[in-house]
Amino acid sequence: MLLRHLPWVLVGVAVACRPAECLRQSDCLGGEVCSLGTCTVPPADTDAGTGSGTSAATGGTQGLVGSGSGTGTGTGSSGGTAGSTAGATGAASGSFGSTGDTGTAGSDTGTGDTGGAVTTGPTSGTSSTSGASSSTTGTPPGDWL
Amino acid sequence: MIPAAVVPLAAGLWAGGVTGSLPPADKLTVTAAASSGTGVAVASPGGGTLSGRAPVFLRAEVGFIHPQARWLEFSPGIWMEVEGRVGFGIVPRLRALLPGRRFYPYATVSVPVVVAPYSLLGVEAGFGAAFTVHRHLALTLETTATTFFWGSDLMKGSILARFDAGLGVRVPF
Repeated sequence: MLLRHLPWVLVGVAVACRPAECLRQSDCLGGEVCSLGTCTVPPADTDAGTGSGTSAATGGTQGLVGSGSGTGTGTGSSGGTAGSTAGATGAASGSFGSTGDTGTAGSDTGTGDTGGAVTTGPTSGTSSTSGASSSTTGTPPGDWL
Repeated sequence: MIPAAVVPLAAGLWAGGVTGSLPPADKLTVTAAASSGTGVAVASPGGGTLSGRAPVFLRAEVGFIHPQARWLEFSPGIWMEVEGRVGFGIVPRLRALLPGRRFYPYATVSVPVVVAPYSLLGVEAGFGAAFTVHRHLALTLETTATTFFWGSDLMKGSILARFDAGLGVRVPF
């Protein structure tokens, strides 16, 4: 009984459903993904985060008084798929007045993009200098996907 | 029939303990089977229903039948997709046989596990019939319905169903 009706069931299923280019990931070529029945190339996230920052230091050691400031830029990478972490890591470096100065970096600002959503946010960081340069790294807060 | 030396191994595999209540058997009836088929595949991503022809598959299995439960066969096997891609899986299967000499219908349940190069896990049920054409040869015709609910080969948020029909041969030893 079931065998007799099975072909018609299969035909009904085939007709009632929308034919699809793909039903499984292996139906698609390499580099493509099957989404909603269509093989598509996943959008490449070419955005890269950028950051910039300034630093300043005052004071001195070893009997020397100095001051200095600097600016720097940094780049971050964005993941190719939404949900991966991406970040704009700003780095600030600068030269200071004299060797042995210590100071605190100002701030970094970074922008990043994940999956097309641009997120900006300030980045704060600290740096200590030992010599004539400082560096600042930080991760911008915000609504990262 | 097979030598008693391999009985412990076969018995250990046999039905995964489903028939643990049966007494140990000196000899198990062993069968080999191979089949091929295709069918219709249906997926349901995002609330819609999509369909397509299911790739051709090959299946090979070895069956073990306990002498005191001749209606039940444990048939571990391998499964391969050979159309448009090559996939490989293992399919532990139980087959319930209705007695018959030249024609005997059967029903199956199994848990197909596709392991390479992608992964799929599902459940399968089917029925078929074997037509004896020789003392050591039977032709089989069977249909199966399979639902894959997990695996790297599925579309995101979708399950995959297959309705297959296959032709094959079955060789009792």
